[in-house]
Amino acid sequence: MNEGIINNDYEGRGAGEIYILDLLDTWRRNWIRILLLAAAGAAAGLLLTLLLVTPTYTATSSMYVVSSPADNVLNIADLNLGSSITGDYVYMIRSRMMVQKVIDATGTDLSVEELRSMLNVTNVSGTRVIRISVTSPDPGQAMSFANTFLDQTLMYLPGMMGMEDRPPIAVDAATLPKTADNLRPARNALIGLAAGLAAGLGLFAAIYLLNDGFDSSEDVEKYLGMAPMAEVPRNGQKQKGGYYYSVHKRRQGGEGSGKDNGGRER
Amino acid sequence: MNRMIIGKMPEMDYFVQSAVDRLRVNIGFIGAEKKVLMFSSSEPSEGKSYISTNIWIELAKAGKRVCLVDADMRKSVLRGELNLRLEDKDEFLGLTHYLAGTNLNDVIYSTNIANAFIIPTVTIDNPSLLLEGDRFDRMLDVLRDHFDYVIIDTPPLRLISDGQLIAKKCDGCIFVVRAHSTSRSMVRECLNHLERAGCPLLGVVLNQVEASKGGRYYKKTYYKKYSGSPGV
Repeated sequence: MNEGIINNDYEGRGAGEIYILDLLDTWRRNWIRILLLAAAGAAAGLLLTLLLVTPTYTATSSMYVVSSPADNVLNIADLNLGSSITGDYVYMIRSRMMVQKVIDATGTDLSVEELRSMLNVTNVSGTRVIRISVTSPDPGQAMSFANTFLDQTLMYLPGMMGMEDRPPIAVDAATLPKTADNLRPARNALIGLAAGLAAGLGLFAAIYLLNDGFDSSEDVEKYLGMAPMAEVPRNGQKQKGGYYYSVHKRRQGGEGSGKDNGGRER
Repeated sequence: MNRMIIGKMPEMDYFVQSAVDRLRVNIGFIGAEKKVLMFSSSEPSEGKSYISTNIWIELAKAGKRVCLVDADMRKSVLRGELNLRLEDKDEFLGLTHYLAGTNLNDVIYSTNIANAFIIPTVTIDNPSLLLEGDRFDRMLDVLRDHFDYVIIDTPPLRLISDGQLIAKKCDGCIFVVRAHSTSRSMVRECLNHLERAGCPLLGVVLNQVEASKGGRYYKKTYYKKYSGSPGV
């Protein structure tokens, strides 16, 4: 005699407990969907980059700040002065006055603020080299402005700053940029892939956490601590793989037979 | 004994039939002393009446004398679903009448299925008082002596106390859970009700499992090889 399949000492999982292995299994069972989401994220990143991002180009010219007069021997004082003069030049190049000179020289209808927003002036660390970079959607315009800034600086700033005896020297003129510096489709696709993957993992983790039902015998075993006595399918449903098992009108000894929809209220 | 005709037999496809057969076999393993089996669920529409009706028929077909008691007196569906009609009487008497004082012989009916007997019911608003009396116990004692199994279709446990009252008097409960629908917390709550009533949980039946979401049951290669059913 069997003492009964179950007594009331069933030990199932507690409410609200999260099982990492179950979560991993949920991800494993939905790996295709998660990969599809990741692929969609990558595609979105790529498309957004190509369709929505306006490419911009950066042209750069550079100059070297001389700290001692041409006919002098370089001494310690000149070295110290060099770094502060470099800083002064950086500031002066970005001044409204200098930007306005460039506007006048090029005849552009950009405002001072607009052109300033395109301008980046930096001192290469550890040197007295100043780089003048201009970013624009038009590569030709970027090159033109970068070179004009260089020219106007060499033309006007030494006199303004009392440095006529030690004018800066042009190092490099700006060249026409060939590639946009903000279009990184590969990088954005990777970011999209990561975002899609995170979204997929998060979505199915949420589905797992919110799923409070019993989907299979395994769930009954896990959460109630017992295997079900029977797993009864929905009557007359289409089975996996497209096979349709027609409802068998089993005569069970009664008169006639009628439809029985397992989905109706019983 | 009076006779009731079952006008509409439950239909089962191949897989449902197999599942009910499995349930029948598992009930056989419970033990001969456990005769009075209640079928219950958390909420309505989980399929407990469907399962209890089918297991009643299958046990009868297997040669067991089985009596199905429709104890869902507030919202019975069996009479309509099985299209029950009396063969040679006009007055439809059921469990409600017995608990109110009618003779037990007047409410037990044989059916057009050999070995399958039924005590139907008539719906009333509040059967709790009737269930608290000792007539239900006496009825079960008599049925225990005359039948191999007594299948009791009870109301859902969660909302009303009728199921708990009946559970106290049964040898065990088979709990029907609707797949993909009933929440785990609700099932646990109902199983706690059973425990408080002192009724052992004999097992769980998972009902209305979707093939696309279910577990191992629907491997087509297995059934293609073994079933021989048309359309496979």
